[in-house]
Amino acid sequence: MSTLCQLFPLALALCRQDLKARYAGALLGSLWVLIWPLVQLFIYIVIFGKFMGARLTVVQDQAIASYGLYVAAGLLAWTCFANTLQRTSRFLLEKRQIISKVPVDLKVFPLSICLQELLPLGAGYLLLLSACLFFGQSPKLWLLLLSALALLAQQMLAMGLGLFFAVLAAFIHDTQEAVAVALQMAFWFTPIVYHPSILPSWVQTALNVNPMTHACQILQECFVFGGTVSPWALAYLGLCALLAMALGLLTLKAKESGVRDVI
Amino acid sequence: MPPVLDVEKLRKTFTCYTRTRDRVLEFLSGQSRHRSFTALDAISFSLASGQIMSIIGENGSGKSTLLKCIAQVLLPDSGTIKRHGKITGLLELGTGFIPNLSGRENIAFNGTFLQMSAQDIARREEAIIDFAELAPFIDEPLKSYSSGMTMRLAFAIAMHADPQCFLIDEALSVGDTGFQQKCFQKLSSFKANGGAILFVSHDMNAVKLLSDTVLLLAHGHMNYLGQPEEAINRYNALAASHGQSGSATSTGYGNGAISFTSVHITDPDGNPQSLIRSGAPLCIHFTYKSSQKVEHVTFGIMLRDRFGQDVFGTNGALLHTLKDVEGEGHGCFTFPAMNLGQGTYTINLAAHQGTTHLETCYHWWDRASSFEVLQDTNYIFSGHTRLEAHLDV
Repeated sequence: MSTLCQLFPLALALCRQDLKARYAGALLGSLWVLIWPLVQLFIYIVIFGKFMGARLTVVQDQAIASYGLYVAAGLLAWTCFANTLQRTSRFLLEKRQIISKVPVDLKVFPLSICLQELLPLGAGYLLLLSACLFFGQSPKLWLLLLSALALLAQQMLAMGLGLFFAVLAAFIHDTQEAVAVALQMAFWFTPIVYHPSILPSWVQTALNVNPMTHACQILQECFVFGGTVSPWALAYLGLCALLAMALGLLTLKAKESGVRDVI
Repeated sequence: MPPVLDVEKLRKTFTCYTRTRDRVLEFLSGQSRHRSFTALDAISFSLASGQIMSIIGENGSGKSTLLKCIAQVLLPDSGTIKRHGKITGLLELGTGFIPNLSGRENIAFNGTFLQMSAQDIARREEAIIDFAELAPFIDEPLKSYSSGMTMRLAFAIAMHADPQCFLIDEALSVGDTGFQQKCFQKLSSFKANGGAILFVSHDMNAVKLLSDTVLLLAHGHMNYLGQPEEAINRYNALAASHGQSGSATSTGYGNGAISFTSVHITDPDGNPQSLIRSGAPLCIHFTYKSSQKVEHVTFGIMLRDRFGQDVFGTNGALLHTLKDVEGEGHGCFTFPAMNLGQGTYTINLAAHQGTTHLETCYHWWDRASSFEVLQDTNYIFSGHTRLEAHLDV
């Protein structure tokens, strides 16, 4: 915890500088961080939800919900998770210019990546919330709180896994590509563009092993269905997040010297 | 004087794999498929505040690895490094700058890594820009800077981050003479205020002029730690014992009737030398062999500076010493006083007919060897040539 407090100011500064560096010379600057995800969400909510009038028929309770909102809710969680994981898994190679020149705690980079990804997440969250209100739904406060917790947990999951893959990628460069492929597959193994009820029951059970299923479902409940969230789902997600963080931090601790030698 | 840095029994090894696949196979099979390379072993020293220590040694002796371990960019396998205070410096070239950002933004970025607070950075920004002499360009992106400008900025930031110990890895060779002098002035005032400096250099003049102690590394081990003079002599002996004195495998041309087989440099007593004081005597010995009997052979020598400019040349024809050659033999050019200015000079040897090698050349041996001339502290001058001068006013 104390290291987190020490790392936080540096991570924040790094995050600011990174955004500046990424969009240096661009007229709209770091606004681009928000433009892309917001446009994406807007397309799903408005085009799918309003103009095409796509509806999602959920078998169990026969409720009818906006397909656009459903996809947008799942996608909000997934995009942030996937970006954090992918960028974290690359940081050792991408930041080698800094790491090999100035003394720096390597843990600061995943933290800074996570902070950066929270920006579009926050903006998307607000957009989704306003869309809900616009369509006449009011998400329950406790669900909003739970969804924030779920997002926090999924970000820990992303950072932990990302750190593990980053160390692996420093030694075996193929890891970067493998992570991209795995994320693409995991996307379809997470109920984002479809509802689990359309799948055979054994696949539905398998889907529950994927912690991201629960993160997406909590957001979907919050913004679309307004139903209930199983405390076990959140607990499972939290457990996975803690395990992933432990895996990432222990791997880094064990291999830091070797990582610094090869990059 | 309180210590700024305590290094004890430092050891660093690198694990080398030829192919990435070997790493995976080793992990899967448990059988070793790598080569271990010990870059540093049993390194212990302590650096007090107000002290300058140089690290010298041949290429690959572990100098930069040691500096990186001290800078916490690499982690040692065993041993301890106790740092009492902040350590900053210039490791190699480039310093973790971001090319797309402006100089000013890079000051903030770099400063953050050097544990400067936002207030510190804001307070020091003008001083840094002033010192780096970059005021007109500071808001331009760093990628438009020359390497000298980048180095100036890096030095200025590292120096203004309030370090107790400063590391320099050959970086000061970049930048013009004026700025180099400014850096040295800054470093000496830093030292006078109790700062410690650790620097790696191949420039024996700088080592001799600046350092209080010198650490000589050879193959990752401490060969000597102590007085600069003695350390440089030992370095010299090391360099002379392998590599520096040539064998006839380097570049050259000729018809091959006679070929040089070796060259070595000694003082008049026959001790190997590759580093001499300006004005000191020097003997350049060579051996040769010939496949047939050749008459009236001219042996020649040409000394060149590091830019390849001829500095001095002579030969047997000019010195009225021609030689009939058959089989193996040796010779020596003796210089009672090597009246050259400081710098590195290469030795080029020739065996030919007549007064120049352009007639019939048996062997022209390019860069057969080299030696370095150090400043004579009793008679300091600038330029290549040591002329005797007096001033009456």
